[in-house]
Amino acid sequence: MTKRHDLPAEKLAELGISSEEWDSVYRIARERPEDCAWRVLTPGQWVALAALLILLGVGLALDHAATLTILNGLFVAFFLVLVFYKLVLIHLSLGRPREFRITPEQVDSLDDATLPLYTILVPLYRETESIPRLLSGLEALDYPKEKLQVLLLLEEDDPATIEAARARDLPPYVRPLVAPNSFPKTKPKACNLGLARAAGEFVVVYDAEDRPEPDQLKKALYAFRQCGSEMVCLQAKLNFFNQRQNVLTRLFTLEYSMWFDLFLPGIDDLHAPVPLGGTSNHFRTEALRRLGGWDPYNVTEDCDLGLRIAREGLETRILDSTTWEEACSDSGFWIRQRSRWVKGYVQTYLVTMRHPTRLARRIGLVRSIGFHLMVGGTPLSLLICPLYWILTLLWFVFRWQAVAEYFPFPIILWGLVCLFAGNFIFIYATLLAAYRRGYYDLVKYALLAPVYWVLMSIGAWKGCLQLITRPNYWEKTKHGFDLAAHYVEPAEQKGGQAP
Amino acid sequence: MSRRWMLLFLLLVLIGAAAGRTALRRAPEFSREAVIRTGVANDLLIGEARGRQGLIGSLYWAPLPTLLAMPLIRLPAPFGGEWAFVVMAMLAAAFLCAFLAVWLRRTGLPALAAAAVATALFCSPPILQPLLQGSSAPLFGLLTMAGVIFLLHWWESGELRSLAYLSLTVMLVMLTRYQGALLFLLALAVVLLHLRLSRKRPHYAEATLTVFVTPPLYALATWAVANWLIMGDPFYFLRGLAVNRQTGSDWLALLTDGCDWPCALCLSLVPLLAWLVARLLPQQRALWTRLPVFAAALLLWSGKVECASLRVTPADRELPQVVSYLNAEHQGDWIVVAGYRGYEVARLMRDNGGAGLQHSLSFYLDQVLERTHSRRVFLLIPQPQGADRWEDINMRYPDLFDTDATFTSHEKSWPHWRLVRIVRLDEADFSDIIFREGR
Repeated sequence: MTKRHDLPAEKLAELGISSEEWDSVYRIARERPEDCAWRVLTPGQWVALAALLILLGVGLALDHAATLTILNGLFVAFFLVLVFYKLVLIHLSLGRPREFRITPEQVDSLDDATLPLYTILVPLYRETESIPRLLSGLEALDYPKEKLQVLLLLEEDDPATIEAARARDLPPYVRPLVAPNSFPKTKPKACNLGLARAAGEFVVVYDAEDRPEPDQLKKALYAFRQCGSEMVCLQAKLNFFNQRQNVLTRLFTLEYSMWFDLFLPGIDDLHAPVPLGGTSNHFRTEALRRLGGWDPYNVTEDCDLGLRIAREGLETRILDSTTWEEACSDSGFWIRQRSRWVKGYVQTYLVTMRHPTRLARRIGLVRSIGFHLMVGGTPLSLLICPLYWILTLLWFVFRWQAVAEYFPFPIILWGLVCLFAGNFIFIYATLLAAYRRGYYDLVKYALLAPVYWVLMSIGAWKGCLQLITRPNYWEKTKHGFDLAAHYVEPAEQKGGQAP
Repeated sequence: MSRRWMLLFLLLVLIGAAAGRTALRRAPEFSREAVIRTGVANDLLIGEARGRQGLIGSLYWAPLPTLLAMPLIRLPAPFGGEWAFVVMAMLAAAFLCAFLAVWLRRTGLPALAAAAVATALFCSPPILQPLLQGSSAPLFGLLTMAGVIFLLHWWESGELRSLAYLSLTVMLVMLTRYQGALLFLLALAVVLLHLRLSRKRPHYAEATLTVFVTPPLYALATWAVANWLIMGDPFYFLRGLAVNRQTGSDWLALLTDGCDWPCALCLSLVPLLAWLVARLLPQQRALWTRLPVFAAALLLWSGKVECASLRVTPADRELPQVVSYLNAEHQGDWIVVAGYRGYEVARLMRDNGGAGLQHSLSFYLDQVLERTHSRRVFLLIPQPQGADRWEDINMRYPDLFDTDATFTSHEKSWPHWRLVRIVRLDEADFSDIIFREGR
C-alpha cells in the first residue's frame, strides 16, 4: 500500500513539496492502518459478515416466515430507537443548547494584537468560477490579514484552476499549494498536505464557494479560549445562500437546518461524538496533527475525524456561527453528492466498528449509542425505508394479505407507531428547523419532506453499491449552478438569522 | 430534566402504586371506559376487524388512551387487562403533575410548595379515583392543563419549543377526548391574537400557524384515512355528531358528554393563577400572594368537582340485571349488541355464561341474519342517553328504543334497556330495509 504513495523526489520538488510534507499526507494510513478506510472490511469483519449472511440464509431456508419476522422486528425496533433519539436531540436543541453563542461584545473584547496566526485551508478542484467570490469572502473576514494564512489547495491535474489562481492578483496572505496527481484523488488528501504546511495555531477548512460569517474566526478563537486543551474542534453551522433557487435547494436547506440547528446542538448537549460537516471545522493545529489529520481514503473524512476525536477522548463542540454554502440545485449532482456522503458514513461506521467496544469504553455506552444511530443508523434507515414504503402500499392500497404474516403483534403495533408517529415527527422536525432558522417562507415546504426522502434513499443505494465497486472514489460536487442560473437571492427574503 | 423533577415524578408514581395496591386488595372496580377499551385492545391484538373498527370508528371513543395501554394489555394483573389503563394513566398523570411543579417553580413558588401543590393535585379525588378505575379523564384534564402552560409560556417568551409542545399537546388532547377540539380553538384564537399584535417579518404569521395547526390536522387526517381504509368512509367516525344533532341533542350535551370539564378547568386554573400572580405581583414573594394557586388546587379536594366520567348511569346499574335475565331466559338464543356496550355485555356474560352473544360495532341486518340462522335472534338496545347516544344501533335507528321497526317485535323492556326480537322472514321481505340501509 505504501508504495502507491511514493512519488519521485524531483516531482515533489517541482511542486515545492518536501518529502516530510508528503509523508504526512498518508500518516494515518501508515501509522494507524486500523483507523484508515483504505480497505473497506478487515479480515475479521469479512468473517463476521459471512457468518451473518450464513445465519440469515440458514434461517430463511429453515423457516423463512419466522426469519423475516425477526428481521422485521429488529428493523422496527431500530426505527423506534432512532425516532426516540432524534426526539431527544430536538427537545434539547430547542431549549437552551450547550453550543457556543458568542456575542458581538465578546468578539469586540478580543485584542487584535494578541490574535494568533490562523490557517485557512481551501481545497479547490475544477472550480475556476468560484475563485473571485472566494477571494471576496476571505477579504470580508474580520481578522487581521497579516495573521491569516490561506492555502488554496489545488490539484496537479486541474491546470485550469491552477492557471485561474495564478492569473489573479492574490493577496499576500493567500498562497496556492498544488498537490501532485496521485491516488486517492480526494479532498482529505489535499487537506493533509495543507495541514503539513499550516503555520497557524488554529486551522479551519472552507470550501471554495463558502461564505463564512465575517466574525467566525474570532468567535471560534473566543470559544477555544474558554475551553481546555481537550476541546480540539469547533463545528460552525452550515446553511445555504441559494435556498430559494428551486424546490430541491429549498428542501436541501431544510435538511441542513435540521441537521445543523436541531441535531448537532442536541448531540453536543449529550456529549456524544459529533459527525463533523464538510467545512467550517476549526481545529487546534497541533492536536489535529497528533490525531493524524484526515483519512485520505475516507470520502466523508470530516465525519471520520469527528469520530476519531471522540475515540481519543477529545471533544468537539458546536459554534453558533453560520457559513453559507451553495446548495446543489441539480438532482443528478445532488444524488451523486448524497451517494458519497452515505458511502462515507458507511466507511466511517465500518472503520469504527473494527474495534466495536473501543468507542464505548472511551465515551460510555449511552453516548456511543448516538454514534450507532447517527452514523450507522442514518444510512441504514435510508436503505430500508423504500422497502417499508412498498410494504405499506401493498398493504393499505392493494390489501396484499401476505404482508400481514410478517407483522404479528407487537411488531404491527410498533410498526404503525413508526409509520404514523415516526414519519410525522421527522416532517415536523423539518418544519421546526425552518422556523427556527427564520426561513418562515420555507416552513410550508417541510410538508414535501417525504418526496425528498425518496431522493435520499436513491442516493443511499447508489452510495452503498459504489462502496462495493469504487470504495475510495470521490463523487465531486459541482458548484456554480447558481451562477449559471443567474440566481440572485431576493434581498427581502435573505432571512436565515442564527437560531 | 432536573433531579428534583425526577424525584417528584418517582414519588408520585409510588403514591399511585400504593393506591393501586390498596385498590387491588379490594375488588377492583374498573370504569366503563376501561372495560370497553380493554375489549377493543384485545380485539386488536387477536387481529379481529372489530378491534380496528373500535379503535378508530367513533369520535366518542378517541383512540389515544387505547393505543397508550396497548403495550401492557397482555400482561397479567396488576399491569395487564384493564390495569394497563390504570398504569399508563398513572404514569402520564405523574409526569404531568411533576411538569406542573416545574412550571410553578418557574413562576416563583418555592420548590417545596410547588411539589406540594402538584402532589395535592395528583392525590385529589377527581384525579386519583378515576385513575384507579382506568379512566382517561384525568389524562384529558392534565393534558389540558399542560396545554394552558405551554400557551402561557409561548405568549410570554415566543419560544418555538413552547409553540411546538402546545401544538402537540392539543393534538394529544383531541385524541383523548373529542372535546379537546375546544382547547384547539381557544389556543388558535390566542395564536391569532398574538399574530395580530406582533409585527414580525413577512411569512411569520403563515409559518407560526403552520407550526401550530400541523399536528392537530395531521392527527385528524390520519384518523380520517384510517376510517377510509377500515370503514370505507373517511368521515365515519364523525357521524355521531350529525346524528346526535338530528335527534335533538344540544351542542352543550355534545361538549360535555363523558368529559370532565370541571376537573380540567380546575387544573388549568392552577398554572393560570400562578402566572397571573407572578405577573401582577412580581415583587411579592410571600406565600400569601400564592393563595389563589393553593385555593385552585384545593378546589379539587372540596368534593364540589364531579367526575362525570365515573358517573354510573341508570343504564349501567341495570345492565347486570339485564344480562342475568338474558342468561336465564335466553339460553340458546342469539343476543345482538351493536356498539361499544357489547364489550360490557360480553364481560358480564363471560362471568355468568348463558345466552350467545353476537357483538359488532356496526349493525347490518343482513349480516346479522346470515350469522344467526336457525336460532332466535334478539337485539339489545340501550336508551339513547349520554354516551349511549353514540352506540351504533341508536345512531342507525334513533327511535328503536321507543318504537318497533318493521323487522323487530317487542320482547322486554327495562327503564333504560330494551330487548326486541328480530323477526326472521324470507330474505326477500327484508330487501327494502337492506336497500334503505344503503347496503
